[in-house]
Amino acid sequence: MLGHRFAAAMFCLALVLTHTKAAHAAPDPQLLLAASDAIRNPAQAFALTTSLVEYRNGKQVDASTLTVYSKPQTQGGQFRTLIRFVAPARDAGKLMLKNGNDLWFYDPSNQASMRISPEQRLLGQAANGDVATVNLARDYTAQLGAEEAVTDGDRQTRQAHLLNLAAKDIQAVTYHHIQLWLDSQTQRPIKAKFFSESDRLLKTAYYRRYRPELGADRPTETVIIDGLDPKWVTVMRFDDYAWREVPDAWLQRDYLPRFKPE
Amino acid sequence: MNRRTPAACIGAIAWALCSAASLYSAASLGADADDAAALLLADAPAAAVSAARPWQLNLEAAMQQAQLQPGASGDEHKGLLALDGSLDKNLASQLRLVLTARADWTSAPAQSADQTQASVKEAYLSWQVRANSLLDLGRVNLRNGVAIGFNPTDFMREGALGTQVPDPQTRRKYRVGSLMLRAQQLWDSGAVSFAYSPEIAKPPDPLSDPADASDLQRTNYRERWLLSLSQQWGANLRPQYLLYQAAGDEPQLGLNLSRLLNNATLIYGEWSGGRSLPLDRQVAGDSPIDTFNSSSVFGLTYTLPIDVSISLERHTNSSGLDQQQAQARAAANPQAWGQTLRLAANRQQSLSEHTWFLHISARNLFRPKLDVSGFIQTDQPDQGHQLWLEVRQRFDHLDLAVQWQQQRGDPWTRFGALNEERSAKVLVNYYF
Repeated sequence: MLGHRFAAAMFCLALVLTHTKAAHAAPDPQLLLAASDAIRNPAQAFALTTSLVEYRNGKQVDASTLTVYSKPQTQGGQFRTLIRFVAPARDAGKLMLKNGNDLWFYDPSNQASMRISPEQRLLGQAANGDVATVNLARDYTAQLGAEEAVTDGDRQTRQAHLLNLAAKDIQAVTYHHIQLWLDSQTQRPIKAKFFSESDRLLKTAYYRRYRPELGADRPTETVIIDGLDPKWVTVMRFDDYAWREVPDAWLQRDYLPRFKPE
Repeated sequence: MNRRTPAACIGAIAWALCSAASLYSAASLGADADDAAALLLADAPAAAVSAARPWQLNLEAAMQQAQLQPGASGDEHKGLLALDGSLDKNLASQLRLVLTARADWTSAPAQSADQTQASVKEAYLSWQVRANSLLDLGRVNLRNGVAIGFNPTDFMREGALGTQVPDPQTRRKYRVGSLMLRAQQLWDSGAVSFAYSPEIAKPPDPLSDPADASDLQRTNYRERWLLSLSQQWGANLRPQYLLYQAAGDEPQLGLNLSRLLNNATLIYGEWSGGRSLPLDRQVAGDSPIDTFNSSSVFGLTYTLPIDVSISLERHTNSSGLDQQQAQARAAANPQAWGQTLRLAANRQQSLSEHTWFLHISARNLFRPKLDVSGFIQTDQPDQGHQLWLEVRQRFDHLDLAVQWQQQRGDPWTRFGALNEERSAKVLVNYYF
């Protein structure tokens, strides 16, 4: 009798332990992804200044400054982003509007509002999708990979969840699939690898220099390394975070020639 | 037959696994070293962030060597200097001032005097009556259309150019606006706008060069109005509908739209049509307006992963002439045909039945900041072609560029009627 009770107790204990361990080891990957989105992106409309410095073989070859206005859509929650070129002087005043893969480019010097495809780059190495605000959880399905130690952008070793992200609709995103490492404790994005449909590594990104901005610790620097030529590096720095409400009606092609927020 | 023992097989598999692991480890270490080097670069102190400013100023200096068309003897050498500036300033919280102007100075030793030309391309006040309601008054450069080489729905293009410029990008840069009153109402997924451009100046002399007329004469010699409506349909389609009328002409309808086929391919189209007289009959003073004519553009842009975009467009003109018709009209009345060619240039349109237009643009080709772009357009059937090519190296505040242009065609074609057969230009742009 005692033997049976002991066996039953051990069985229950094993179940509890297994369940606890499983619960600890397998958090919902989609929730993890949403939590990391919330760290990268404020939940309401905001603006920031993005400066990009591009290096080739260790030498700076280009630099540009952008003002980025982002606003979550009422339906779906994905961001609409309006990017205003500030520098270099040649590009000052140009605008890019991104709403999913619907992209418009406006050049004030010739009053041209041109539609562009996501593959058409305006910023050297950085894709248009890299400078826009994107909630990955809206566009990608996450699967939990291994938990592993990775070196973050500030050279600290972190225990991280690996999320494997697959595009829900390849026509609506910049990258076919992504590997994303999140800090196991804080869900902060540490590093990501972006792949093409043919599984070619397009670029690696490190999210670093976290500091308090708009109510949360957010990465203020992204270091992008080209997948084919690792000596091709772009550093994106984010400053001047501010809550900034922009009417929905301004985030469309017909308003581009008029956009002047200051 | 060479038979291996189980132990030998296990040893071989273990060796293969170890080799693969070593290779993977080496690749991983290499990647780690690359990442570490990249992060080290990023550690460099950040430069001061540039602030937005309300003005832009660009100085352009160029030297051009041209070979004139057969019949006009010799070469032509020109020096060009241009200053292009803009100011976009809020005068009050809801009131904005927009000014853009350009001054060109041309020196040609073959000509007796230097030429100076100044244009106010835009000068208007914009009043934001409410967040989504706007009113503009002044010289406004209102431009419509989604195509690159020709925009049939760009109704306000008439008289917007004083000189003939081949490159579509530069053509838009030189373009002047019309004096008008414009109202615009926006909503979350669309907009409607109405522009009214009154008759202010006397019409330019049809026999003279358009460059001799004032900007006002070219843009405001007759009353015009334009109504446009845009509405988003789904995530990927945003057509624009237009209705336009100029005094003395019948109303014209317009439609332009674009659609993404995949992440690299964009298709677009423009159409305009209405009852109108072909240009040669307008010059002849024919009446009444008894035919329905239309112009259209269908185009596709494909972008390669190496940052090269290729656009191919087909332009059609239902009132266009074939080779025999055009040649016969030119032979019958050369002076009237010359005026027709001028009118076509003024309206920025072709006289042929259709035109193929191929545009290629490559950014950062072979080296950072080196851009190559060019186009070729051919008027069909067999009415000449035009080729334009530019290599541009960008620096921080400076661009150095070399341009090559060539046009071929019989003297009665729009390309053959141009003064220059080919030209090369070296130019410097300085951005303040």
